[in-house]
Amino acid sequence: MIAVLGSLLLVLLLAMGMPVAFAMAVSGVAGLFAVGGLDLVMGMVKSSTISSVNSYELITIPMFILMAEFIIISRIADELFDATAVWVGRLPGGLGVAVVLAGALFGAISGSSTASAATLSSTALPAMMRQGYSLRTAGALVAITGTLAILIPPSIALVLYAIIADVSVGKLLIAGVVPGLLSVMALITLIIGMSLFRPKAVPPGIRHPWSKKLSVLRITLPMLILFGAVTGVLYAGITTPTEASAMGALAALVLGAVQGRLTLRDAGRALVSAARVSCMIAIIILGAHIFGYFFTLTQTATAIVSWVSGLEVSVYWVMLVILVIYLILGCFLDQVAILILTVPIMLPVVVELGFDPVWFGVMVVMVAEVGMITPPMGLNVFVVARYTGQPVHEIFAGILPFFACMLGMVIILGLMPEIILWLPGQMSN
Amino acid sequence: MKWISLADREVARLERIAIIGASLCMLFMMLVVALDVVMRYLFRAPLGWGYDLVANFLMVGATFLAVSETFRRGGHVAVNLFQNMMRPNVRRWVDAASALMVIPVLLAMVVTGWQSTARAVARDETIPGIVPWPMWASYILVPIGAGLLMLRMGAHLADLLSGGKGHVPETVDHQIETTDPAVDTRPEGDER
Repeated sequence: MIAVLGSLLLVLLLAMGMPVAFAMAVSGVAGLFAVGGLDLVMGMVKSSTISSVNSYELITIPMFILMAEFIIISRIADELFDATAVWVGRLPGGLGVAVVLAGALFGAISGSSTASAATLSSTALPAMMRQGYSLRTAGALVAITGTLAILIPPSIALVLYAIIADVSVGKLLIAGVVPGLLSVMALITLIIGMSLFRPKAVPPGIRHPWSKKLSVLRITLPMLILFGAVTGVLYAGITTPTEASAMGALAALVLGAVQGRLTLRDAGRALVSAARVSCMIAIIILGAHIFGYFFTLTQTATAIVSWVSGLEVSVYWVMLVILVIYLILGCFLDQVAILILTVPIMLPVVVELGFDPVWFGVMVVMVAEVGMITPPMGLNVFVVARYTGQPVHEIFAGILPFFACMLGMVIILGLMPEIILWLPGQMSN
Repeated sequence: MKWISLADREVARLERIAIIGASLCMLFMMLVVALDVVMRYLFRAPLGWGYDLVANFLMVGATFLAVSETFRRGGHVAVNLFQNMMRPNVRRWVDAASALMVIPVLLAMVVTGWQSTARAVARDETIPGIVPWPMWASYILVPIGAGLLMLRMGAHLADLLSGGKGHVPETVDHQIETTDPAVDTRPEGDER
């Protein structure tokens, strides 16, 4: 009963617009107070504040964020779209294909599909319009490309899931590679198909000379190598994810400085900005510790697990319901908030039902991202609509084929978990 | 209300110092971990003390020293779906209620954090490892960070109660602004 009241309080505080971290801490403290009075509260706060933050694995998050900030501030990312447009421009629907690739790379860097959608709205969208793309298709493409990015390493969401679920960070990061690449390929195939059959919405491509192709590589190639190196080092198990992330950040800093795109002042701005984002995530983890302790104390998680495993339905129906919940949550909640709020409750259920936690992590992150473009709520669509000054329903109308494509991808990955689990299974421990 | 804006400015001054501290923690985290890797793989001589320093001090510092400034800038993620539907006056009271509820939790952090610090000093506690780093230097970061956020919450609450807008959490618009370098040209601390 107390657990239900505590959860209701949490929902109320979230609805009031209290930051997620504070809402979890406040409702957790209130719940603990109801269970064991002030002594319990003080004991818990004392033991949890430092211990939820001083973990070596957690450092992966600030370091990947820092790497992203260095790259974004040195504006290498801005040139991604130009580079991909020159390289794949001659394919049917070439510019659209370029947007998918640039979105995937940019999202992999920034770790935020919303940020990716916003940036591409300002760079790629006008370029597509000039080449004669229909507005709804162009807007929809920009809204969706960010969503696949979340799977491609280094994905903050997958690191966070791994930490919450207590599974190997390296395995999770590598598990995102194949589904991420498959989604990119599926979207590219769709665009080429659209260009061939509906050339009015997706015009054919334009050829670019080799000299131009080589000149754009000067800026973007080193960054691509950096990303490949971070992923490769993780896959081969040469360093821990923490070490790979710190080396990646340092390399991004050096890269920006050598190319003359990162002044001392820029580097300072990147540090401050990274400190803010990583603080936001760490404080949410702290809040989740407090609320999670309250949940454990009231044995709520165990109760939910035994209730679900007592249900007389197929485990696949339960999984379907869980994934639909994530799709809905993804429409309006931040990815970090979704993971922290739900994974501690869902994961024991999922493991009890016999599913693999690594597979579940990739599915959750992916489904929640598809939620960001799901009508009628999807956040990314609103971002693009607001940025371009177009009506929301116009963009939603264009998004349907892409949405169906991503949903199909999720269903395939759901039915064939080996696709996700194969690559991490090849890793040396 | 003159004293409210004065309080706001003074807390902001402390926050600026703290966020610089947090940023330095980030920088050293990167350097120490990277140095550790280089020493281990190139010279087969790992630092040994890197792990303790990074996890117990730099990570804690990066988190707690940044928490208040991040709040002031609206950087803590919140669900603002319903908030955006509220009338400004209703929203002001809702925000004030939120702030009022957060303050006791922060007080608990300050008190317990301070107790841990004082005990570590009295018993001369150190971290077990190659370098015996003093524990209090890690513990004290909690009351500093939580205390600063408590001051910030107090100023925020006073601002809301006297009719101001307070510090608004991150929204979609805010994300657009900060991701586009062409748009984000505001000088530091000039968002109000």
